[in-house]
Amino acid sequence: MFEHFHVPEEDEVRIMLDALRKTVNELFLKIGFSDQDAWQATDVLLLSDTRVVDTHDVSNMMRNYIRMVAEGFVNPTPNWTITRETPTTANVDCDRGLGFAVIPQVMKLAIEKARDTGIGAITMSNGRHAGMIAYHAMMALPHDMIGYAITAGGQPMPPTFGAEPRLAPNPHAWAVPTDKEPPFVLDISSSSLAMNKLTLLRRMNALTIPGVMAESDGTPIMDEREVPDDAFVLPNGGTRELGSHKGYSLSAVAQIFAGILSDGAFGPYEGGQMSHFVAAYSVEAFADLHRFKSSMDDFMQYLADTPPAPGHDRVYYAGLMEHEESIDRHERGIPLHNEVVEWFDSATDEFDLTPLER
Amino acid sequence: MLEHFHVPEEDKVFVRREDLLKTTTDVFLAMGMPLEDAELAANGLITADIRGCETHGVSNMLRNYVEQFREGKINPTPNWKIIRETSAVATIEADRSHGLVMCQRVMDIAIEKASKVGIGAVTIQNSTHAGMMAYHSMRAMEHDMIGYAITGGGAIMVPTYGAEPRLGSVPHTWVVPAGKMPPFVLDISSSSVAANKIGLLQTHRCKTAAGIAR
Repeated sequence: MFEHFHVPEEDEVRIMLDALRKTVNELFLKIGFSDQDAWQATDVLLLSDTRVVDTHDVSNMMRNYIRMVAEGFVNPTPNWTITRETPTTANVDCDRGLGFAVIPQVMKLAIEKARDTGIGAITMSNGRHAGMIAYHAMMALPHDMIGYAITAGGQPMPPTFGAEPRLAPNPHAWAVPTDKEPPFVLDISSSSLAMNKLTLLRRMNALTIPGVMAESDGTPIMDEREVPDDAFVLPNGGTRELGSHKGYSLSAVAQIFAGILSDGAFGPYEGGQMSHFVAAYSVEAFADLHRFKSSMDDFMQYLADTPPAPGHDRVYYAGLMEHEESIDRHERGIPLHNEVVEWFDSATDEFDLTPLER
Repeated sequence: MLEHFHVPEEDKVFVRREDLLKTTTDVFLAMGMPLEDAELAANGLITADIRGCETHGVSNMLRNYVEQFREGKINPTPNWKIIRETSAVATIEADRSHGLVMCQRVMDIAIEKASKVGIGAVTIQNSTHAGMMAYHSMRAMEHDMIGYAITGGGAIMVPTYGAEPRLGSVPHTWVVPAGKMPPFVLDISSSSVAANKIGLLQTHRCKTAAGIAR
């Protein structure tokens, strides 16, 4: 992430992973999740924290989930069902279950299908927030498969040339196994800026970044100023000249695969409704596994070894930075903002739990 | 396309679709391709021109293909084969086929697999330039299927923070059938600008656009 999204040093409280895991798990149990779903949801949130996807971790999201369950938008005990199925595909009705409790179970089904036929791809309707979707794609890695995950829903983002929001910055994530190198893990929103980052910017009183958001009439904001309350995020690319039609259309692709293909959903949220899509590709079905993984190592090294441009120390590939940072966070804990720790204290107090350990 | 990629008014010559198709097919035949392959390849180029995707039409590409046939890089009569296969996937050894033809044939294999098991996905090795990728994913539409096509190769684009090109500006394309509306056809390079557009800019003697080339 860019420097200005990080928690400022003076506001930072380091919480060890196990402590955070314990409290988050207890909170999910308190709001009615089953043991299995609470464990699963906690595992997704904690992976976002360790991989520095702070937009999708406990700081930004946990309080929203509690509110969504309280308001009845999220069903804490979903009875998800398969509504259509072939040897390679399925469609699932999520029964308003929290995406990151339901999607991992559905991804397991896609992995089984891929083991049988080479590919498994499953659409999900009537879902709720998916969490960091890289988690779902990464589930394919231990099975020597390529994972792909999408989530879609809502409409805070205007199309290229548009003056009204009609799409969400729907993300795509791919995870590809390697042999010795850290795996290739790509998780990108189709906007210039993840929607959640607007919330982060506001919390940190940071300024706008030129070319990533628009005024309320769709005009791209090309200077640094206070984040306006009615700002939209722009599609990835920012302006047409720099390729915003690509971000806009990748968002549409996500909406089509997750939403339209599962049950025709698009447009405004209906109570936070989201649709999802996961796929698993068996490497062995296409190629010799050993050769593939060693070629992936070579390719990742080839990219990371690119001589850096002036002003830069090194070149990364998708997933490398997150991998390195996660080693540090496992050792030193997760840097939470003071304000987030205070929220945890009020929540554990409200639910009669032991406070977050630090 | 952005305005500065269009042919300037004073340099325009209008050619009828059938005439362009015939001459282009003749060129591919002269390169030694069988008739059916020559027609598939010519149709791919003209489809790009008709859709206003001039980067991948006859103007930019046909002369390159002729050169590549002459240098032996493209094999006009390849003996391609399936080297690995499951019910849903396959891998093809293309024997230096023309990508425009190979991807069409392989999309047919994918379509057949999808009609049996729900999805078909096929990788192709040792092929050559595939033309406008949307041409291949569009083939799925007639079967009420969603088409997806990628091509990869070359190193003309720098990684973020990099000072040396290490990747192709390789495109992804998705094609989704609709009811009465024109279909959703997305064909996007992963660079800010298709590499071919730099060729177009040079042909049309245009200036660089800020932020897309180094």
